[in-house]
Amino acid sequence: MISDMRKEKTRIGDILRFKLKGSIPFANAIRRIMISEVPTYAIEYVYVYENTSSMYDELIAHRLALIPIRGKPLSENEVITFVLDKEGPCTVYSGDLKSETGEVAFKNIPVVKLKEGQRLKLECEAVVGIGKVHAKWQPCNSAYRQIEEEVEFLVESHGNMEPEEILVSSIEILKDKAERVLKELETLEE
Amino acid sequence: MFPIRCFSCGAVISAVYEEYRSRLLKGENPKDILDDLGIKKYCCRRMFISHRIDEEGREIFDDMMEHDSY
Repeated sequence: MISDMRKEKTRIGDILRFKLKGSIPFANAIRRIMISEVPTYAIEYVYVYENTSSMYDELIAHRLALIPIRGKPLSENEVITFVLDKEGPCTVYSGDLKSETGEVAFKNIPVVKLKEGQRLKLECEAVVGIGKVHAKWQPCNSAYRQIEEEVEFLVESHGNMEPEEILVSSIEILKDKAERVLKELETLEE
Repeated sequence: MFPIRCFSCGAVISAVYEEYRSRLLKGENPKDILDDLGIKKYCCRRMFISHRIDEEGREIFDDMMEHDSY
């Protein structure tokens, strides 16, 4: 059903193009699930021990949350802990977040600048969530267009996982949803 | 500081910001840098173009740091 898969690597993520034989509502269901219901990791809790930088704690926490974290979650309760300790003068990059169980997708994202004597020391927890709750958990952007009998798809991943993985998990989620509807219908008939 | 993601589409544009900045300070044309870095969509391109960096590479955040008491 899926044909003509082409993958392109860019500096800010991968782009996947493919053709799908199916209806527009089906294509839209897949697109919407890819954007808002595929689970990913994002920093949710930040414990600030010392912040003498020129940026407020909550602003730093917000910037940290938007950094994509690599990996496909296996369960809902997984937590990845990161630690950060830096003293100025320097720039704090996303690659300075150290963890034993996970890694950030891009190591060169500037988070905050520190001058002489300023210090940033914090611990953060990345948890599993979906794009419907907050855009920081959104793994990709997606669009499609109809060309004659086929639907041409475009998936731009944000570095959390490969676009193929996003597509596979979105199809699994759609299948679960369809099965749930069927089950509910069967109980109604009785 | 430069925004981590594009305000409109959510692409992680800050991953290429450091390269954009250093090349801009060398005097390259922003259009050529962005084309080369693969920033195609105009929502992402305006994030770079509207971010002010002066000739010495100073941003607004550098002025904020100067006024801080620490």
